[in-house]
Amino acid sequence: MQRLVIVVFFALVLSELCAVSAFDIEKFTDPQKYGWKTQQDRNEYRSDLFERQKLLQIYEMEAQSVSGNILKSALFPGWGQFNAKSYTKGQIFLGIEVALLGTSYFYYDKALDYHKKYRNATQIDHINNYYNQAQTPYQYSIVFLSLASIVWAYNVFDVIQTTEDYNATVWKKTLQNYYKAPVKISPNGIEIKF
Amino acid sequence: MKRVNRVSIILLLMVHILFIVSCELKRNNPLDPNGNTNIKEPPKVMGLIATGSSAGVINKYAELTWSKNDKYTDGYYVYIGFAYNSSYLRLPNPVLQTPDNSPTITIRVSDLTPQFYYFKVSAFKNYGSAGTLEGSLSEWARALVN
Repeated sequence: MQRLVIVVFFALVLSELCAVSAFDIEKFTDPQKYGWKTQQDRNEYRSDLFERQKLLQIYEMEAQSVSGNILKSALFPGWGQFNAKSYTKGQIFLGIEVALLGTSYFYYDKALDYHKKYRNATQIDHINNYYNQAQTPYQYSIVFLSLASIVWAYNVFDVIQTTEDYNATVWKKTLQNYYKAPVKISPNGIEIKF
Repeated sequence: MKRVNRVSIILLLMVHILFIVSCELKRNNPLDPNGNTNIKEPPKVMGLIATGSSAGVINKYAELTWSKNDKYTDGYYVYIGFAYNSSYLRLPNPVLQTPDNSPTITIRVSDLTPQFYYFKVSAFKNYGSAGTLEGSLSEWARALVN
């Protein structure tokens, strides 16, 4: 019985050793799998990663939230574009929206005026005339309102692209500013460009 | 992706067009016969003839005769003007529909001065709390009061 226990124990130890030898430590620690051929490559990659992390922090401070700009543009057309420094677009959206809504309101008010006369009319010709006179500006007002809603929807759709473009520009500028900076502090030391 | 975008834009526009076409103002005048089957439009008054009083009559007048409406009429409004295309003034007292079998109605408009007068007549029907619906005005008729 004692002999059997010893045999089993050795068998277990042997299998454990085999398992250990199956794990390829060379491959695991091979720096070339990431394209690093030398230790210097590895250090450079690490340094680059560190720099990018730092830049990312700067980028996140300046980048804008897409959902925030969508909300702004949904509330006031063009606000999101203004926020993303796309002033011309913002002015165009705001201008078109104000013009369309204003025109729609103008026709709606006119239609309401005629409709009020229609409601109070007691003579059949007046009833028909006022109703027809109210109907035309009412349909114009609906047309302008629906155009305003199309522009509103496009403005919300556009602010996504505008914000993404803005964020891309921020990232590019952050990179440019960083690499063009005359003084750079890195883990390897301080670098000064002349 | 582009095809999906195009299809969704076309669908959106079609929904908009349907929305615009379906938009109509409410016909909420209680006297409007459109959409209210209980309200019937009084027929247009036909056969209006106006005759002025002849010279020498002290109390000048014009006599109007028209064909009586056979349905949807409780009475008539008489309008007076000074030219066929001028604005017409409605006389204060309406003429009530007479229950007799006479096919025409004749009235006399008095206290006039010697000149041409133009007249129009319309029928009306009373619909209780909804109000009184007045039909179309007749063609004008001219009377020379001497």
